Amino acid sequence: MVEKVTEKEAARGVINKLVRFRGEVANALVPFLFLSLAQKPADSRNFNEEVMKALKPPTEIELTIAQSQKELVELIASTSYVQQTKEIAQFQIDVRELTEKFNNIEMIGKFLVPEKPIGISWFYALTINVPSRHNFEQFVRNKVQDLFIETAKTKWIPDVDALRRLEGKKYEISKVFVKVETEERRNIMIEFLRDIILREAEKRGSRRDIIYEILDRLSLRLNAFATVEIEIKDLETHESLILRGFGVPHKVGPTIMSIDRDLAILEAITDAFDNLKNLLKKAIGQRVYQSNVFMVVPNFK
Amino acid sequence: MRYFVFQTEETKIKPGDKVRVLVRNYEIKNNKPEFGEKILEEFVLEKFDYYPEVNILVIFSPANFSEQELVKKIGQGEVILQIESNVS
Repeated sequence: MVEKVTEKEAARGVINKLVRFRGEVANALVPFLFLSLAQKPADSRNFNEEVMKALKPPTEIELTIAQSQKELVELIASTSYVQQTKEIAQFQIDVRELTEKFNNIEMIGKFLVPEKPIGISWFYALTINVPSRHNFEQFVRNKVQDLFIETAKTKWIPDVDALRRLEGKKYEISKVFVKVETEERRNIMIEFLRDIILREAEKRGSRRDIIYEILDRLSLRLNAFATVEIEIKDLETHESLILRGFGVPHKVGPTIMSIDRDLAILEAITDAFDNLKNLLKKAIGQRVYQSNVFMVVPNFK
Repeated sequence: MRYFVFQTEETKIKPGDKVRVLVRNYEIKNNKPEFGEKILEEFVLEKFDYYPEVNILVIFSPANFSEQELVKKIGQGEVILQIESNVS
């Protein structure tokens, strides 16, 4: 039921943007520090200040001196931290749009009727293809259930045989396919580099957690691209609907970079399910907006 | 609190919308990647400011956490803002 468009081309466009961006993140370290002050224990604060001083950051901002909301926003917007996170936010939007392009919201809205029963035989339907030795099965199961119970408001029937015996409209999830692509060569290089730096830092008596944190902020973002495909059958009409969601890692908080490949995979799958969730919400008539918060500040007193 | 987010699409939110702020953690625990999610706060949107020249949206919430509370509640987590409302 879902129209097939040039999927590979569209996906490649997003991947190209990610790859281009990857080379531009080297200046990410310094501007983070002022933002992370409010969320760090006191002992790392001094360290942050020392690093700021040593690296002569281009912009030093003390949030408390901002006279007004507008002034505060202008100050924040001028930092390279914000430029950086803005690019990541743009990726999120690109991937969300990609998900919307691949699916027909109106058709989904007509196809999925809230309160109707839905189930899945995980054994036959679930396929996970990720470059990791870890098992993501339970995580994906939880995400799928959340998608159909919380978002689509369908009624989850755990026993597929019981589901099939029910009268009236009912759905069966016939396929859940999750695939994540990562850039292997780059990952190996980053892991190698991380080990060397951490080992050297320990020899010099540096705190491992702080070094790790700095590495986390450097241009060591691991790129991953997740595709989630879910096929749903209407057991009454025998029509099928395929939902496709795409996702990338997009952490934009104080620790902006995912240094670990498995975490990048986890983030990318989460993002793909987020995009599917927003798609389903739109399909059932809700206006939705989702974004990563790049800064939290107390209200003016 | 004031939550700063990028808003590069047309602002479609309005007072009365439901806002949920989530804190997500992606961690390696016992040598396994784990995902955790908690609700930081939920509220009905009353006030927000949008600065189109820098595409920054500031959402105001009724809560006002102290620095210590923020450290405890957010830590190294990822903060997600979700706003939704029914189309009338």
